[in-house]
Amino acid sequence: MMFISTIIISAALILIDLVPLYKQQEWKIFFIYSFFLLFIVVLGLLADFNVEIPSPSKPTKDLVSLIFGLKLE
Amino acid sequence: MQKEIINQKQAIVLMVTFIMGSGTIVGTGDKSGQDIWIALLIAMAGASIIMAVYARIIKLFPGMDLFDLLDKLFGRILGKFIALIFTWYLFHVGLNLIRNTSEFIRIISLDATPQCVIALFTGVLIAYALRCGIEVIGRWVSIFFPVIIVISITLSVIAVDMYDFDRLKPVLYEGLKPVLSDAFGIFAHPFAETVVFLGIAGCFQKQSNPHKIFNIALLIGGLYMLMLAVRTIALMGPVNKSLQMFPPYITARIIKIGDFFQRIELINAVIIVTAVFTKVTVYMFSFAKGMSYLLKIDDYRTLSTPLVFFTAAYSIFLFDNALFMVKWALNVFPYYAIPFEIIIPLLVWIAAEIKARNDKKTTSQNQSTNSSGSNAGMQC
Amino acid sequence: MPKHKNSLPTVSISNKKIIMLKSLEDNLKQFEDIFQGDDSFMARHFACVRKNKSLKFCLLYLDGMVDAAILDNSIIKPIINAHLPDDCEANADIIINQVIFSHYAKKSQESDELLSAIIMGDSVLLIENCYDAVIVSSKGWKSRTPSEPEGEKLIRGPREGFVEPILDNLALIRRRLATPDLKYKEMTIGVETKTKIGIVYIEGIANKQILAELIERINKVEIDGMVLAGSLAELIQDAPYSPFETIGFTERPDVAVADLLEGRIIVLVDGTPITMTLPYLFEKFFQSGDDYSLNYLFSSFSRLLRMISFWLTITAPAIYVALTTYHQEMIPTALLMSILAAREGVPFPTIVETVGLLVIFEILREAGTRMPISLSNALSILGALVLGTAAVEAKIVSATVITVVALTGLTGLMTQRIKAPIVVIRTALTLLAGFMGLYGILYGIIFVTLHMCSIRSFGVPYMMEFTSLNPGDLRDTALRAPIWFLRHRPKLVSSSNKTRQANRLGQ
Repeated sequence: MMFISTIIISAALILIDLVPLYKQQEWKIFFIYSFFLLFIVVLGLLADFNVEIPSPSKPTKDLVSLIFGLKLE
Repeated sequence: MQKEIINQKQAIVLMVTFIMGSGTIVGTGDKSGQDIWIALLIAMAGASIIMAVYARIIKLFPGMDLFDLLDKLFGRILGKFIALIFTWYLFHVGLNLIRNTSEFIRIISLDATPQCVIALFTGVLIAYALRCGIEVIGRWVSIFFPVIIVISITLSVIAVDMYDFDRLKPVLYEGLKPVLSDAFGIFAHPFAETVVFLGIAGCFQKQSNPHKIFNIALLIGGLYMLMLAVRTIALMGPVNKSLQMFPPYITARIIKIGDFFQRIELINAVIIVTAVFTKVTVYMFSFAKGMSYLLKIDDYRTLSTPLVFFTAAYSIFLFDNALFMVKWALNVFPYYAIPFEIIIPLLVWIAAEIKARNDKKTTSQNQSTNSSGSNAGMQC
Repeated sequence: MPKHKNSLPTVSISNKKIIMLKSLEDNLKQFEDIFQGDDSFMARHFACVRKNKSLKFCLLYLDGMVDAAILDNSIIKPIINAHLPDDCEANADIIINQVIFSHYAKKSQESDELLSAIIMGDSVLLIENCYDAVIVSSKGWKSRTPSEPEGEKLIRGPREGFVEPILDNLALIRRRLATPDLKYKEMTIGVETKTKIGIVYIEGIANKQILAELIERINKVEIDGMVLAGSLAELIQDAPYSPFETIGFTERPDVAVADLLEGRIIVLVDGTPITMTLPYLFEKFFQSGDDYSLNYLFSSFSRLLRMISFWLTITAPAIYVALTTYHQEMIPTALLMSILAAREGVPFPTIVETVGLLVIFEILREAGTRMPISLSNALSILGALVLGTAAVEAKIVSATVITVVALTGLTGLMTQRIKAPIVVIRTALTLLAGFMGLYGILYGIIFVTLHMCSIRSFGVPYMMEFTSLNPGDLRDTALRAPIWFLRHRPKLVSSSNKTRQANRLGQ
């Protein structure tokens, strides 16, 4: 589901933004843009296969409890 | 590209909606119980100090946003480094907020809809808002702000005969400690988050007074939060409140007018979603500005779209469950935010004061008057 | 505004040019060559007889475009009867100054000017032994008299509407505005049609930047022909892809004059009784000329009704779908029971039912718009009886959906002028509601309002009056305050001259 949604969104974004960027030959932003798009699709794929991706919430929780000596559940 | 400008009134309204945004989903702290209003007042007092710092930074260098300022104050490398840290913070909170919204909607009503769909829909909305630009968001929020205020005051007023103010007693039964702890949480959670506005300060009208913006926004936003907190306690009592995952939302469920209008909590959801949307948009706007500064791209708008969708897609992986999300927001975030909300602004402020003083000296020596270009043009 | 990448090659009316020569016969032959195949092209030969020799003339015109009485009495008769001095050589100036009885006569050698004069219904007089030809005004085509426009009726307004010829429309405006500050700038659009475009504004009140922008945009248009005001509007308006119109249309001279007084600019297009007014902001959709002649409380009430209707017509089916599909708990129990009872036995899901009926309603509306009156009975029978009653009884649709769609249609009729956005937004919201419930509707509305805030009409923000956070600005938008409160022209629309009336309250 997520994969399909991201594919649809990426396709729309390619039509709306990437094609004009390609035509204007704005290479820098073109590559950054496509890099992020690729990332989005990969995220969609991973979400559908229930792959765990490192999330910042656990490490930040541990960091905060380490520094301030708090017990957080 | 024409410079975008939002005027003073719009800035105030944007900031008030921003402040209203967070308190409405996960609510305020749950340790102080019925004394939450004291915690709120303490938090407001504390926030007025740190907001004065934010406002001072904007006042010293009007028309510049934080990232331009970092470059100017700390030089290329250190400036980039601080900008990187701050951008990370913007990204992380943006992630959280998108996750909050999608989790909230999914739990409240749409339990059969996959979360990614809601998150990506939210992404579409934010991406469109960012493409329109901050000026349009300023105008847009001016339409929705009166609506939000009218709805929430109406909701509070029609429930007036259901209030039980005895639930606010006893005052300070458990001492000051839990109250202070909550005050710190509230300070960090909606109020000091206004640090994000440093990122969009470049869009404030030059003749507007940032101190006024921050103070009025703090006052209105604080009063709104106070109304919400008192309403929640007076309707549910502290124990019931601490049992709920989204207390401000649930209070509206108790409110009813006659037999016909009941279960009107979805109207409350309108406020919540609108306010949180405004908040995420401000965050993502700052984030896009930060990224375009880091990647040296002039036009943040084109870049903002993939950034927003990336954030929306990644938000799905942020938490395992909603409980952790709420706990993180209430317990971890206040500490986590200290460097971004207090330390970095203080550093910038000190550096800005020194820089401004030096600038003044050099300009008075050179006797040169550099008149900054007036930002004329059509604006509303 | 859209860029015109494929600009048309600029061609004149005809590739052939006329080079005026001395001999009348040669000149006439050139004209006949150009109008070859057009049997309505007429050449009337006559002569002015003097003592010893006669001076030959030839009058060229298109039959049907000219007023025969003008030709007879103002051109041919005076020339034939003329007593020209003997030593007079063929001279266009003398003919113009001493002979022709016409308010407009001009000598010319320009090929384009001569040809377009003939085409537009003027006549061209060729003179023997003369390089100049004389253009004489003789337009005589028929146009209708001003009548009340069907689409824009007022209870207490004048019964006059614009007509097709551009100058008649200008006259209708000028009759109501006796000031020399009323300016009229004429331009032409269309390589083939040469349609006249008239920009009307009041100097000192209209915003000069907007005027300059408008002229620039009109100049950029390169097109073969311009038949309707609507297509010109689409070419020059902001946000061309948006369903919202940023240029207004009116058929009423009184409305046009009121707009001019507010600092707006009127664009007349020759051949259409519809004029454009700009800049056009969102609140204009909800204003009617009647608002200013009826009681202010009643007008305010009507305006609020129109606004509520607008929001109802775009959200009613969506809210119904959302409530019945996702948020049943919000519906009071008694109502929920009756909805369920009505839905019993209906095979389709609510979303399909609603969208289907909405489409059918639009079909009925579209069928009714351009239908001869004799058939309208059949339409109402089909619509009311077959759809309304039979379909419910046959359990194809439920009665509640019919009610909701009827409400949608009714409120939609109240806000006729916003037709395009309404249809688009309503459909989108209904689908979103089927997908995400009330949150879908909320997201949709946020999207739409963001879009409306992002539009500008000639530099003026579309939602300006609603976004100013100044309650005073609502006095002539959502409400209609008593006339003596409406002392100022709208900001940004007009130039610096803002005050409209003396301060009656003496404040």
